[in-house]
Amino acid sequence: MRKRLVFILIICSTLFFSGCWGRRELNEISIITGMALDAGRDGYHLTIIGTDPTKKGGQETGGDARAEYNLYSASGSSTFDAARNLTLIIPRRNLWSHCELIVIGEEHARKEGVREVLEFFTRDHARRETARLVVSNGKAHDFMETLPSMSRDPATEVLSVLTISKAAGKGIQMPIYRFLAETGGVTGTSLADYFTVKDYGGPSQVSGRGKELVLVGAGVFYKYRLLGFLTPSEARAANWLREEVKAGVITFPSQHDGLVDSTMEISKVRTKINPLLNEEGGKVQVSLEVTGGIVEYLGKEKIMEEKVLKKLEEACSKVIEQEIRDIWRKAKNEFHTDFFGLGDRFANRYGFLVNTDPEQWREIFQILELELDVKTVINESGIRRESFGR
Amino acid sequence: MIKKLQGVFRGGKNILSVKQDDAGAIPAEDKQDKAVFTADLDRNKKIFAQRLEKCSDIVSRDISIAGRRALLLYNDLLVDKSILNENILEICFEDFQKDGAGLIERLKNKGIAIGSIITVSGIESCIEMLFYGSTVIILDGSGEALVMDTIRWEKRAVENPATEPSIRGPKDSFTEVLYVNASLLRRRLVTPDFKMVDLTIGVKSRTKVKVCYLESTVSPKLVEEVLRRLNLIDIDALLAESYIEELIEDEPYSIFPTIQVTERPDVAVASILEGRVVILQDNTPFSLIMPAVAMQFFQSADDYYNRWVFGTFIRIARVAALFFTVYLPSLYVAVTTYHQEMLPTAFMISLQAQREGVPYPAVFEATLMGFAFEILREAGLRLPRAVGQAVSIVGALIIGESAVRAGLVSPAMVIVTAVTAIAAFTIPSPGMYEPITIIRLILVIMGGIMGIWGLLIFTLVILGHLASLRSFGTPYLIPAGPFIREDLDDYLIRAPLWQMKKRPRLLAKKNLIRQGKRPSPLPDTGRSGR
Repeated sequence: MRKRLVFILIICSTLFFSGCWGRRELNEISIITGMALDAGRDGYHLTIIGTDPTKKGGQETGGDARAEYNLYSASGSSTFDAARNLTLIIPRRNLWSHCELIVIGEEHARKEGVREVLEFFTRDHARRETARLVVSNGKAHDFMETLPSMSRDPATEVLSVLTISKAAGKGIQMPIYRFLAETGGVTGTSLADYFTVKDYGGPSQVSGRGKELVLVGAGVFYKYRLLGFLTPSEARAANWLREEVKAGVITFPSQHDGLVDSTMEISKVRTKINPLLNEEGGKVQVSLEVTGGIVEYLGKEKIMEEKVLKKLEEACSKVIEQEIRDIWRKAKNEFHTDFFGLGDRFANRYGFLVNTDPEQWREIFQILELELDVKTVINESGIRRESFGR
Repeated sequence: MIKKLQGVFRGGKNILSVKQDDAGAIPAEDKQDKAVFTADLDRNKKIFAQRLEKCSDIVSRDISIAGRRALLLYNDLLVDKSILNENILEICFEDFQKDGAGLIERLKNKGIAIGSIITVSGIESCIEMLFYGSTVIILDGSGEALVMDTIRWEKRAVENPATEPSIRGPKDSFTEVLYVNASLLRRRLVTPDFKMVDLTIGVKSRTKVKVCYLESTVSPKLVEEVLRRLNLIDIDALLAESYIEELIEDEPYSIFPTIQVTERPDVAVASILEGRVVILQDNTPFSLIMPAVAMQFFQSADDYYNRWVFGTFIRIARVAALFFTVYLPSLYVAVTTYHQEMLPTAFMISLQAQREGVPYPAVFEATLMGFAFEILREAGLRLPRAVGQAVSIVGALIIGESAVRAGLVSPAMVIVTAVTAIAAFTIPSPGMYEPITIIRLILVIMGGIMGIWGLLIFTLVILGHLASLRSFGTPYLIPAGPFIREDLDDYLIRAPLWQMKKRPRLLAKKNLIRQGKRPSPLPDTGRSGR
């Protein structure tokens, strides 16, 4: 009886102690902070950035400062295959749960698309859907080889740049769960930030000189495939309709001569987007209320006067309106896709549109009209009342 | 008759005794004392000689009082010699009328100038009193002995509380002498409502024990139960209060204490006022408070002596410290071995860099450091103070510095251990330190085997155990479980004193109201000042 009890206890204990199985000591793993994917000879070429804690243990004895991260590359016929092939090179287990950046090479994004890598990233529980998707100019693994200027590794650098770019309103910041939702929606279209390596020349030891990772716009994806790029200002323009502009700077001419002499910093944006279907097709009523303060003014008038203020506000509204109309035209004529996410707005309003095929939506988008109403409110002029040098 | 004697004896003691060293440890006459004195002095003497053979501290001397033979017995070690000489012997040697009748009564009531003096007929109780330090005179031809209170022994002064220091509030603490301790309580509760019941426990030690309570407040069943358990104790000697604690507590196998120990008279009195029972025991500077529930061990006297906002803040800080000291090492182990995704990336990378090169798993590291700290603590405790410093230096240098340099321990683990240790010392009651140390060690191992799931399982087990505990019928987790809303004013928060109008509901059902309205200032009539 006693023996049997002990036996049963041992059997049961395996239930509880099964956790030991999944034990991963910190010194047996390498924390992956970012991955890059390119088209390779046998399918996919994967490059990862992993931590290398052995390099920090050296206690800064010599002047030879080695990087604290490592770059490993492997190829495979799928991304997961490539990831497993990494184990042929890396002496540690990979911890994917901290991977927050996916960089896709431009060529790969155009030809193969990102469907496969997103599948790799979201099906396995070890990875997070909050990771950001980024397109790189040229090969993604070349991109990863750029030394970070002020961060631990290139992935962290890119993520920091993305966060900071909010202040200009020009970044996209596309986590993959949103990318999937947008691409899986009516429009079939999504955006991702576009980075490049730019050589600024000068001494490479100085941060900001030499090769740097720069955010240079946004890539437009249709059905997981890269269609083309938007410049940073076009990305901002698209963000107006995506309700993503939270901050930023608008420069505009205050006089009729058209010379840019005023700058406004956005502090608050209120957007109302109203999708409407009618007999001729449909229209989108957009009303924007942009609040901000004057941060630079080269004109000679007293900007605190109501008359002048009104003039400035109107001029600013005009610039914003122009910006939006330009990108609207570009989306219709050049990309033929709705990367503003309007399709989903329509589907929200008109339920029968939910199952619209993206191809079909592209056609509907062509006949959509934009009804734009931009209102600017300037509510401060900084700590100076009047301009100098009258 | 015996009862009457006792009453007289007690009354005399409490009112008349003026001596500072008055300890009055004379026990009540034992009811089972069958052997009694006879009128034959020689026989009595023989009995004493037989019973007290080889007890070198007992001095036996033949004297003669008023022409009658008498036997004087006293304890050389425990007797106040000056009282013996001046108040007893001088009188005895005076020439009394040679009238034998009623001599003993005259001696007792007129002759001997001692506050406490009784006549005893039982031999055994007489012997016991002798060993407490009383002086005994047996007259020839009398069936009774005269027992006089001449006790004087060495004792420590009332000092600052060593284990439960406070910044404000009273600074006295109990000493080893029962009657000093009782006086510390009596001075705080000047009312006949405050009762002290005397017991003698221990076949050999004959230790005096006082059960103290407030009759109007305490539940009679509680007192009955305490007395019942005390009377059941059958042991040779009580050397410390922990003997009683261990013998009468509800859950002898639990790691949690169900009786609180304190050396502060103010804490004891506060407990008595809440309807608890306090046991004082001779020869120990600690008193026992029962029933004791979990929250008591996390409240310190300072909570009440500081202003209530700060008292509340400190209590919450203490709870945070409790969670730190219980969970920090195990969480560290669980997170670094199983749940690496739970911490922010930068934090994880920093931890990883610190652990690099440490040759064993995090569980082992944490267990090792936990043991190392306990060993250091124990060593510091047992060593003389001068050497204790050396231990702390060695501990700080070797464990803290060299072990990290040698790569045996990660710096993060040293920080975790240090925070854990410091946080553990915020628990005001030493009684809680022990279970927490044990729980922490088990949690570390659970965290190493099963990760956070393991912590959860063990936490639930402990919570279940805590919920099942009772201390003299009081659930251990009140007022949280069972939930008593009215008692929350003295739980996580310490409400302002004027708002704690009622006593704990479960303990003091009989007499709930503690105080009246707040003596608030009069409203401003607007006429004051100018």
